[in-house]
Amino acid sequence: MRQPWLRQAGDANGAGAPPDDFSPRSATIPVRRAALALAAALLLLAAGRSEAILDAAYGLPVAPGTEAAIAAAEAWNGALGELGVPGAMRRLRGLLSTGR
Amino acid sequence: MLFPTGIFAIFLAVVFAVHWTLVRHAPGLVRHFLLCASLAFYAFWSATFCVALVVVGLFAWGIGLLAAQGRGTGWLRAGIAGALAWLFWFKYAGFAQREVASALALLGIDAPAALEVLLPVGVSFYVFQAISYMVDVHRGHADAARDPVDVLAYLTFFPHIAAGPIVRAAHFLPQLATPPDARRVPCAMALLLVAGGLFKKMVVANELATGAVDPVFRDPSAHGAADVLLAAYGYTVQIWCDFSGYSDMAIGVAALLGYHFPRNFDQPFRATSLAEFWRRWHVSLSSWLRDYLYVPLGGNRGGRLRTARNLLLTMVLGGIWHGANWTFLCWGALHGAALAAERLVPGLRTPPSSAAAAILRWAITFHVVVACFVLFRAPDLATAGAMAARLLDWATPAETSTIRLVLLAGLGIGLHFLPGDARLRIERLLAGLHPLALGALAGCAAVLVLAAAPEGVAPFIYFQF
Repeated sequence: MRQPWLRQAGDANGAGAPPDDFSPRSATIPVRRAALALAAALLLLAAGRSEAILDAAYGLPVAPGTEAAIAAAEAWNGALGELGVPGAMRRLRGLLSTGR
Repeated sequence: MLFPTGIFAIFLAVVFAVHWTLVRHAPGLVRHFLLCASLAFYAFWSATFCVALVVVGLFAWGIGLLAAQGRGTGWLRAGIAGALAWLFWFKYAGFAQREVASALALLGIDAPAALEVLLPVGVSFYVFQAISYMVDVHRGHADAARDPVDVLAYLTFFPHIAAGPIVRAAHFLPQLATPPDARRVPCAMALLLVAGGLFKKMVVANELATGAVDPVFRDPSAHGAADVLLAAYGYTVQIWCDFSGYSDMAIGVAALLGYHFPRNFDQPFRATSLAEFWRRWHVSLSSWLRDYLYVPLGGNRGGRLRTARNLLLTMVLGGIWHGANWTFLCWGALHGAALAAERLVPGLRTPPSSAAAAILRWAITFHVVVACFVLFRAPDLATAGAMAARLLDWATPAETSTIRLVLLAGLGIGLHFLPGDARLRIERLLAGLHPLALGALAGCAAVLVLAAAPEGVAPFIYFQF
């Protein structure tokens, strides 16, 4: 078992290709630690986007499971609302849209 | 399904979990799972075209088996012709019929109504990869797959199915043959590529598109020179941020699953010649055109004029690969003519002799690229002409040119002059972090990017090709 970036993989586009993103110097970690990083990233993303998730849930077509999805999204957004996250995100969004 | 959406985040989390579980417990099923996941990803656009994609894959697989038996080049020619016919039908049949109808109308003859052919997402990319498979097998660069699942998983792999990078069969099939190493996931690099790509697409490309580019290209006559200039520079930055952002995300997502895609962009706007620009821009396509078209045409063998002809032909075909429109043909022809001129004019092939010469060459190269991109973006030649004409109008006040948009365009160009190893340096800093801290940083970056981005997710520009 191997991954190609552990060797020089600069010939993927043929001779004279630009330097590759991958190299033997690329830092790697075991997949369990990568899963932890990915889970943390997705959790924070879900927290920062709780209002968008709720909007998306309200827009789901009527089907088995839709009610449960809406309830989960409402609970998630409600929990974050108690921490003031959606309000902070709205203020951040206003700040970052300055000059638009 | 677009990368910067919640549904893709859920999809990726599920695919990541199942894929690595299979790598550990049932490596023989990894390719089958990747194929199913990729078809599910593609089916979000169209289940019908999903079936068509499988048909193309099976066709390439069959031709590969025949080509591997060394039965001359007949089967290979038939395979390439079949793949190109597929591409032609979807991309050019309607255009060809409209052009014929226009010509007949001039003669007073009524032609039947033009066909409305829906374009499958990524058709140009998967057809080129199918050709790559057949040719690589014929040349002996790749082994013919005995199992069609290998070819189908290669063609449909979801990170690159919609808009590349075009990954060669000889490069990707060996990766499918040996499941990735679960002890070595380049997580810091992958998350950095995804977050960087998200920023380029969602913040820079989307805002330039809605604020500076689309309104001006929709109606150039309503805008003055300042707006037209910002639209031209803005589109140049937009298409780079849009496409390289997609490529970065694709490379990062594939890396999270343990697969390697080659780099597709290498700071293209710092090039000091057109030849250098094409070594840095959409590298997977330009190198594909070089190896599968330019070199077989004769390349730079056979004298200067023959080289110029080959360059022109390659770039014109590269132009119309983007779609059936005279603007794409002219865009390719201009690039081909400029590349040929660089080879024919003495002194242009040697490196600049001074800093001033380097700056001058950079400015000329960059502005040729910008001018060509105006043609590329314009819906027709008349619009491109109107854009050029409005450059003389400095009396009309600027409407779309805001400081924010000018800064975004400047940022897009400025990023090209960062040190070439800037990303690697950041990656090294991140690599020392605990995975939770790394994930938290990536999550915060994604939240910030989405907070700074305009509402909604515009499709990627290259999805239409």
